[in-house]
Amino acid sequence: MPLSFAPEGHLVRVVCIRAGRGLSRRLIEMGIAPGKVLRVVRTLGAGPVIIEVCGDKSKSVSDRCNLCCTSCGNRIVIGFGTAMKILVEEVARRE
Amino acid sequence: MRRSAPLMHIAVCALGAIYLIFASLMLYNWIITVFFPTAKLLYSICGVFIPPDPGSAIVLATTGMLLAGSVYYHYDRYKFISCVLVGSLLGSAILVLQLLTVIANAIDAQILMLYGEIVEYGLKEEIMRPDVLLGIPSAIVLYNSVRELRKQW
Amino acid sequence: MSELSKAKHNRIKIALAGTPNVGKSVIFNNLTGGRAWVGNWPGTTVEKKVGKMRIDRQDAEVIDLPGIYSLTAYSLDELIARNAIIEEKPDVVVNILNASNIERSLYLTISLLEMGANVVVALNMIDIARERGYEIDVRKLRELLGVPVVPTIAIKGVGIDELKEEIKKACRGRKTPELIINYGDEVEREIEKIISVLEKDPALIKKYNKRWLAIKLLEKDEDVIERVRKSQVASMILKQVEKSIKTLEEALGRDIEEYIAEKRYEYAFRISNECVKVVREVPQTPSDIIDFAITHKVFGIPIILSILYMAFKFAFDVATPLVDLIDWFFAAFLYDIVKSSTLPEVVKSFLADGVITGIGSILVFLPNIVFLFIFISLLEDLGYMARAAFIIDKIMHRWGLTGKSIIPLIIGIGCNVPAIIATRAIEDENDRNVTALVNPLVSCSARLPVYLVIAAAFFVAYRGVVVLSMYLLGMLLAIMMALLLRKCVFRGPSTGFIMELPPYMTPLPKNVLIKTWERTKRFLFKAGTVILLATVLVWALSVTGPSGYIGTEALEDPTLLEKSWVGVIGKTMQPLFYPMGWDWRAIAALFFGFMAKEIVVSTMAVLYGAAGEEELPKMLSMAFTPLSAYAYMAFVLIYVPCLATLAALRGELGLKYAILALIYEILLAYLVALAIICIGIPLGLK
Ligand SMILES: Nc1nc2c(ncn2[C@@H]2O[C@H](COP(=O)(O)OP(=O)(O)OP(=O)(O)O)[C@@H](O)[C@H]2O)c(=O)[nH]1
Ligand SMILES: [Mg+2]
Repeated sequence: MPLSFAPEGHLVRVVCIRAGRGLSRRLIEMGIAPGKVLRVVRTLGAGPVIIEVCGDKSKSVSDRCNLCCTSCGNRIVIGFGTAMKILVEEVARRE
Repeated sequence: MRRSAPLMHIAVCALGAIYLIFASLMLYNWIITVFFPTAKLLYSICGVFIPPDPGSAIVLATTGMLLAGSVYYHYDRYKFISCVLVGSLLGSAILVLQLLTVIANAIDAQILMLYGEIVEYGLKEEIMRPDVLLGIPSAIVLYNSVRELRKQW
Repeated sequence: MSELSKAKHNRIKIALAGTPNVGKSVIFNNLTGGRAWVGNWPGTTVEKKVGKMRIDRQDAEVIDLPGIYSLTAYSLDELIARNAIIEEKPDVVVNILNASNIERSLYLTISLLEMGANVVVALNMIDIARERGYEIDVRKLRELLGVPVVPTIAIKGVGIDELKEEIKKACRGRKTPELIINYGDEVEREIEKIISVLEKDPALIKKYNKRWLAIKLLEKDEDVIERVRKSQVASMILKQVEKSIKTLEEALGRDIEEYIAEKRYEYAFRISNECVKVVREVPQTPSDIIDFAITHKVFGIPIILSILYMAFKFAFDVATPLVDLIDWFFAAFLYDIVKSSTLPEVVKSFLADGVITGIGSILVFLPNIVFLFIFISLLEDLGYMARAAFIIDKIMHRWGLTGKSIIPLIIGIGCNVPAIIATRAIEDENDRNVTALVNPLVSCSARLPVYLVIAAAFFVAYRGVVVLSMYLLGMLLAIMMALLLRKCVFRGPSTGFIMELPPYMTPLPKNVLIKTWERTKRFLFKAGTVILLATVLVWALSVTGPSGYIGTEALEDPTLLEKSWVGVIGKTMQPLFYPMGWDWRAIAALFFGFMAKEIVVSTMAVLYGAAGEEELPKMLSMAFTPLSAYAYMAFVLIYVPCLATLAALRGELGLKYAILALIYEILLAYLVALAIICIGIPLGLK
């Protein structure tokens, strides 16, 4: 499922990034790599999303998401065009 | 705090509703003045003047939506507070702006006297407006919700 | 060459590098006493800015750069920063980290250290980190990175002296230990191989760190490949690199570039895990709480509209007394002094009817403009821009723009020139071009006087709304033009945008004032140069004509004025605007307004012989009907970007697109004005 359609408040794991070289590289540099777990803070429904990067595959993601790692709480806006290129799967529901 | 919470919800929701009512009255007035100049204006109710100002109406409507809509999120403290905070912030901001405008107009009248012009301006109409009158409870709500938030850190 | 003699020949260079919005520009201002633009959204700085700092009784050059996430550029502003670091080889790189977001900032630090740069780390925003409940072990960080680390709170000046100290030490020469990340056995083996080939060109490895070169080559960095291509052994190197990439991608089963980036990020993650402790549980920060309502599906857009309305209410209603004061000063006070003086008639007319009337008619609106600037600066510093980008993206992506385009559009309300330059921060090239091209449609502060004068003549009761409608019309047209351009000229899907969401901050009064002043200065400068000259020109052209000197009476007598040059210009162009029914004087004003749009007002003031803000509307109400006046406003909004904007477009996009902007705007303006008349008349509006 593209990140753009991920439900709000859920944790999702990045499956793959279907983007050109520059963009996928930039996403990795910002910590959004395949295997990473993201929290969908806000969606506008098939539009842009706000996410937090919540950890990686090796770590189990705790419920206290804001504390599970140091990048939590740092939110990133991902525009629609980019959010459609990030494919994710649902991990768990929070809230 | 727990026990007083529902009371807060009701109060905020009621304030939001009043905001929405006045916003629609303002819009109504505006539509009349623009498209049906012959029809009669709803000039004031209960001593509150309703200027045909669509801009103010938007702000009032937004404030009303946020305040009334906050009750929809009554189950989540943060979401509720968020809507109340932003709503009352808007309400208070427009109050401050209107007061500034009143002061500016007063000073302006003085300056125009330099030209020897005497301008009439209705202080009462400028102050007895819904944005001013509703701004006061809004400011109180703002104060309360900020205090509520402060408790945490 | 020793350090000292080197400094004598060319100054010590200190570059500031860091991720966007970490406070580089604030630190720059602190170090140099400069006035770099500071704003609470990523992408504020899009140009190199150079300042001076004293080090050991010498001047050192400090360079403020746009924010970057890595040494691989993704947008135009990043390219500027990257080139400044790699090409200019600054003596010291001050790397600024965001303490509340160390992991993401460290990626760049690691890239810099790999490159072998002489790095001093400033750990900025520790106040925000503390607010989030983090504690950072500075000593540990210093140990792990092997470079000095100074914790700072730039906006309060905390830690700046220590930072200066460390920079000084670094300038005196210090060998930064090279950072070596283990990328895994396979990759290391290939790196070794590439290095052994690189070593055949001593010139190359003397200039750059060889391991860094090898890694960059594996990362397929085009710029580095270009550089290597100049070497005598280029073909050998590139052949080896190609072989290595192929082997590695087969072995790893994935893109090597992404693999390396990931490894580097992992390293950053490990460092940050070791240095950052969570000392306090903070479930939600105030920013997070406020954001829920601000970025809400339903409330988001009404909030934007409300903020816009408040901006205009603030700029018009609250500034009124100041406007009247300035008006009184020019129209009554100065004008009378000159008119009652004993100067010769021509000089009197020149000063009073030309200069004072023309400049006065613009300066009257200075308070409105300043108040608008204050409001925009406040919005910028609060951190609302990034939120607006998010909300607007939902609408914009359908129209072929990204949410990020809204930031230049908002800045354009102040002035289109910096707005067009600000588009550099937009990643997608097509998005960027479109955003820059439609930017002149956003109503800048120069057009405000025109609206205000006309609104005062015809729409007194709804001044705010009529003016706001012009701004909305501008935005709407900008979006529609964007769609059109996207469909016809800049085709292809957008790659969207990514932007970190900064926390809300309380605007610093000092910063808001500085920004307001810088913006106002530009306006005043324009009033003192272009507008003044144009006014003088208009005056001269109205007292002279094809038949020679007419005399200053022309300004009072319309039939005489028609015989002047201005009259000729206006009359010749009048048939073009026949359907709109505008007065020839208004048309002549449009002609001169090409230089800067304020000139439309100053020209009208001269031509209608109206001194002062009160009088011009009165004269105008005789020359226009409300409908034709509204069409005139719309025409002024759209027709031709001013000269400065055209120059900016040419600088950013090239001459071709500047001409495109010029042509489409003229056509659009004519169509819109015509449409207003054609729709208005059947509706019974006059
Ligand atoms: N709380 C806090 N805010 C800071 C600090 N340093 C800078 N800021 C704020 O952070 C925001 C960004 O500062 P800038 O200096 O414009 O950041 P920049 O790195 O130049 O950003 P770009 O030019 O966009 O890359 C501004 O609103 C500053 O007031 C700090 O130490 N603490
Ligand atoms: Mg900057």
